[in-house]
Amino acid sequence: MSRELTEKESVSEYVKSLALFLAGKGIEVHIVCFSSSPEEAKLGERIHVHKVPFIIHGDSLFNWSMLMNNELKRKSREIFEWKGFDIIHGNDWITSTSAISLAKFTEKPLVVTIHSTEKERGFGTKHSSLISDMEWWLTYEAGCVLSNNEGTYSSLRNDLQLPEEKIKLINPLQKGWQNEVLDIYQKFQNGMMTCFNGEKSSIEG
Amino acid sequence: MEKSHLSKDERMRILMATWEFPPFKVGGIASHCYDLSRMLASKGHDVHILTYGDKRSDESEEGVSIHRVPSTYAPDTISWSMFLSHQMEKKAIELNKEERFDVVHAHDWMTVPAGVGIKKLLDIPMIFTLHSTEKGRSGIHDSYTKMINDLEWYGTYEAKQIITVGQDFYNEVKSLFNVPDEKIHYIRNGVDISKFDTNKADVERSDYASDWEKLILFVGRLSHQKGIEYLLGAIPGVLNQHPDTKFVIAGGGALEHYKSMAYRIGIGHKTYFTGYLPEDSLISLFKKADLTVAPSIYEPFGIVALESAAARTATVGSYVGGLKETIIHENTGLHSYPAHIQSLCDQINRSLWDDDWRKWMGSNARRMVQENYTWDKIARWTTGVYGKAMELWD
Repeated sequence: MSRELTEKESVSEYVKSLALFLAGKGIEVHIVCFSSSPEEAKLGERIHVHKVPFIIHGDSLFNWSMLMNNELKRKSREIFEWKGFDIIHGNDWITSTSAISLAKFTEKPLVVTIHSTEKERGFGTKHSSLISDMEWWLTYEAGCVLSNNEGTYSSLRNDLQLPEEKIKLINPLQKGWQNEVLDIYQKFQNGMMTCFNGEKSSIEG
Repeated sequence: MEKSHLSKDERMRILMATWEFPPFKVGGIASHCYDLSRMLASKGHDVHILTYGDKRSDESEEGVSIHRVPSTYAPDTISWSMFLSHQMEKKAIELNKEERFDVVHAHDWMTVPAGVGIKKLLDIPMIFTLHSTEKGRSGIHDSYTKMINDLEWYGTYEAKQIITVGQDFYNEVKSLFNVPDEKIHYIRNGVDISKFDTNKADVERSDYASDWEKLILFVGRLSHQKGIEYLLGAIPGVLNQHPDTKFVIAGGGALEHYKSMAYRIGIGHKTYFTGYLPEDSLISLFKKADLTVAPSIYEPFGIVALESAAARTATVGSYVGGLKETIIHENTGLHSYPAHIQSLCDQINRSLWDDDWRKWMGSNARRMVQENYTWDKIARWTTGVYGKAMELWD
């Protein structure tokens, strides 16, 4: 789940790169994101892109995103009923409500990548506190939280008070980073509750 | 309330979202949802209320399951309600796992994000009741009020069926949001008259007015929409003809603003601003009042006239919105022109001249409520709308 899937935008590139890697491993990937017009496309073999529009512009990014997420929920629920899926991967606070609700609805594990926190972005809008709350809820509900760099890792630890064992620093500029994400997916499939310390937190039985 | 039994096929599992629910009450939506949910439960339906609370709680009252979820600090009401809606949605997912809901029923714009989210995730039809519109309440004059107007439109667009609470208001919603005929219904509000018959609270009339004074009651939020300034403007003209009159103004809102306005006009000694009063005290006041006034300039339904009627007290109210229906001129009360000080003053004076006539109108008003505004009928009509939404959804 991603806000958008465009060219040369960092979160989009992250999502595309991961999707291409996973597809190369024979894994089916569905990307659900916002777009000004609806589109069902394929990014390659086994990668389905579902772009959903939302017509209300909203008076702020926060309010717009809270409503736009309803469309992400609808599309994701349809995919789940159509083909099912094993893992939900949310990207940044902007997919919070759909990622959280979908994980609860489907009872599938939630992995989240926080590309930057509101605190890192400067806490500069009147909705910053709410956005930070949404980041907290998203990371709280996630089984594993991925951060892309030291700064975000530190903010997740210090500003959002995430426990160390829940965060994994995976730098998407380093070769083979996608393999590490796949490892985490596989741990979840094998019933691990958190990224690491699997022995401590694996589901009994 | 006696519980009826429905067959498994007739019984509906209903999820109702409202931002306010007793004992937490700000406007009329809380009472509406309280009475409607109790009546639906008494008919054998499985009714769940999702609402705001300082902390999470699950309660059960008269067959209705009430689930309260908190929100968080927010810079404005829209974003506060967005956050609240997400908490409601999570609770709805949890409850839906116990047994699938048949419908989600959202009340006013503040629960539209929750209603739509629940609809889209749980794949169930949404019913949307509008109690008023932003255009009517304050007008659309900036990006904030436009966003509320957009949320109201979004609710009407996403809902399978829409309920409006007044005949005039039905037309307002239909034209404002371009709603097709087959999607929108008018189901009037109601009053639980048993509350008026069994009310235990007994406010002392002497706390509000002298024995020789007539007590005229205003109940409502102190805001421009309720026309309070027109009432204050009319009071000198009433006192001129009926000097032994006291105006009791009950309700929260811009209390200090209107209090100082009353003193500026020179009627401070003849007005009593009570501030917010609990429901049982209000019922007692309605019963003790000689007349109720409802000078609103915008009123989708006008519940005050019905509550007054249930207490056998006639109402002088503006000929606007729902008050056109809830007052029958010269039969259950009197109509005045909206936003017209002289007209309001004349009608109050007319009613005060003849005590017997005024009491006769009060008795007629009570009969009107008994015959036409019971929750039993309203609940039946509402389940009819639920049924239609479910049929169209399938």
